[in-house]
Amino acid sequence: MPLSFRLFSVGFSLVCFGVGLYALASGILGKKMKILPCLIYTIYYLLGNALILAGMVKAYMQADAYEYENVFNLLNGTIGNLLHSTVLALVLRRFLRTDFWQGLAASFLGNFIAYTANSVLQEATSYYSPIFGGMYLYTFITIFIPYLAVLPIAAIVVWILRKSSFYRYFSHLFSRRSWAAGTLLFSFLLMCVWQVLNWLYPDTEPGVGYSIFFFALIVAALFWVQFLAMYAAGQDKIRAQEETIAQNQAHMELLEELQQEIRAFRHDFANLFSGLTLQAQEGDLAGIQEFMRKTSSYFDEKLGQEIQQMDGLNHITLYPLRSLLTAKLADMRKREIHSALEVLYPVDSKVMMETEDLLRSLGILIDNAMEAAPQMAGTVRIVLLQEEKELYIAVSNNYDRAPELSALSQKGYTTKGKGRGTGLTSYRRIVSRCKGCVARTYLKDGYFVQELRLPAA
Amino acid sequence: MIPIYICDDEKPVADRLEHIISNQITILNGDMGPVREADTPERLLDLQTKDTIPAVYFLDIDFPGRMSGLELAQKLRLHDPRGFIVFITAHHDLAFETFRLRLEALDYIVKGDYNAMAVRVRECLTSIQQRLASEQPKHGRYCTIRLFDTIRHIPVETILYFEALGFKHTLCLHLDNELLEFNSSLEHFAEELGEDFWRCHRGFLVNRSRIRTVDLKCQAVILDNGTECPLSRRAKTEYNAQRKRDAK
Repeated sequence: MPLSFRLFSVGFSLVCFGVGLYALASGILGKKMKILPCLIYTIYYLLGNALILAGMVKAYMQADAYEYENVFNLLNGTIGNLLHSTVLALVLRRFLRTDFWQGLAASFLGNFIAYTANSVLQEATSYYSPIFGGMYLYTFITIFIPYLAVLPIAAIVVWILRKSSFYRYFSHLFSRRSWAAGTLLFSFLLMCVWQVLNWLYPDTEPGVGYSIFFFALIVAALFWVQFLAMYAAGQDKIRAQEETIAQNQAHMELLEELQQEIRAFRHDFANLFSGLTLQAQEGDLAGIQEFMRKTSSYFDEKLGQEIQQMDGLNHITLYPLRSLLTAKLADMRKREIHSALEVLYPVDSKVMMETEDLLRSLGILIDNAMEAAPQMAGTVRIVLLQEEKELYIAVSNNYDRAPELSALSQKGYTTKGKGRGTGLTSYRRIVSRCKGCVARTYLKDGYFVQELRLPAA
Repeated sequence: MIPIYICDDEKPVADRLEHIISNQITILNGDMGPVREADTPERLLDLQTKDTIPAVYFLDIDFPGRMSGLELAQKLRLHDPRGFIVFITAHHDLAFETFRLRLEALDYIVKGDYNAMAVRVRECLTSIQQRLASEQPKHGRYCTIRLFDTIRHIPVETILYFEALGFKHTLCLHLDNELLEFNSSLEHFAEELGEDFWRCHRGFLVNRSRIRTVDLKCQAVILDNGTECPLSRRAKTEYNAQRKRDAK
């Protein structure tokens, strides 16, 4: 056979494999196929593997290294594939904006599926194909068909994964660090299983049982991943529900308190009005005016705070943020810290900060304010103001002893003894990571004020 | 003289307030006036530019069909960052903390009883007088910092030092009683502020006039409020060379 034909068949098989890998990985992640990243990855895969093959051939020719072929294959199948998968994950992150680690795990799994399908077909075709006179037909059947078959198989697998919306469960597997590490390791091992088997038992005869075993392995592995993922999703759902229940409970408590106060208020008011009626009967105009002056602010003083808090909470449409604030307000009520929440306009989530970071930094600010507020008559005020170009957040508290601002910027500053001041440090890290954010800390009229301004996205 | 503006779309309220304020000014014998009324926000913005700043503004919280009091105050602040803003409201449950922190509003007055309003106005005007008296005319330099759409002018003598936080050009500016973190670079401020500031370390730019001592042994620059900034090797040699030159 001429060299050009050999080169062409190698190139063709690599292209098929590269496209298949890309399709599988993007299918596992539940993303649309895009032409450009697919093209880029395929070209990379072709060139990268060509280089590796060329290196191997050179090594064979220079030194009589045939006896190390198995080791070469093993290294290529593990380290080489790890490299290719990393590149694929980077491509996916760049063009489809997926998480790097999810992309990596998806590449591993894709590699495993494609490789299994390909090698089983290869073994089968070379075993069962009739002996032809021409070599071309033989290569066509044993190389072109198995590699070409990777594409329809990938298409079918992707279709099945899409139908079962596998990517949702898959992303749940990455919700915890330990699970993510486990998934990565598992998929990496799956990817390597073929290479290791080939290395250990190079001369296994392929057969129907053999291929059935490996297809069963694919199915079992996928089922296992799916099961784990569903379990993880269920756990997350339970946690979210628990959070909702806690939030509703806090809300109920607020309502109950409001009801108590309204009852007390009604009682007061009935008394006051009977006095007023008497005054009116007597025509005591000055007395009535005095009464009006005294009671005009009565209602606001009694119920204003609770009503304002509820109005404020209703203005926050970003659900986790509302949940956080409800919890903190309830906590403050329990610790008998006077609290105020002012949210004048609806707060939408469109800020240049990840929701998670926003929650963490606001949580740290409120916790700090709660800790720094004095035991007796402590007050914490929270202000959120949505403006056209920014979200303005301010948390302020009164204090017994004025905090030293110059010491505040030092790492691990706290008023509560050693090992407690980690909140501020991570707050500073979050703020400095967010582009365009402005954080301000100052003292004003007996209050310690922490301001955070986030640019709107 | 510090001009006083009243902006309320209800004519009776505005008139009553005008009466109270005029009376109080005479009682306090302050350097304030004249009192002007504007019935719409647009008119007030127009009036504001025709007289001196800082000024005192009594603003309604809401103008139905027009801009809100918050918006109006923000627009007024653009022209008069150090003016005094007092809100007029019908309710006690006004979200005043928002106005106090975001707009540095001074106080609020509840519409209604004449005497109660008079007491509140008097308190406001006295507090403004005190603030003006304590604020010595700042003849010093200002450092300008752009935050979002507004430009803040910070008197240079209140600056202790700038610190680079290392991530993506974040600076922390240490002032008397304030910390400010924002995106910028030390080079920018080193250039803008010139010789009055000293780059005592790669990540620190210190106000020379606030330095108490330079501790060569501990490699630290100690400021007049006791804060320590690190002193780099390079800055140390620079400092020693400068001293030698001065000795000659």
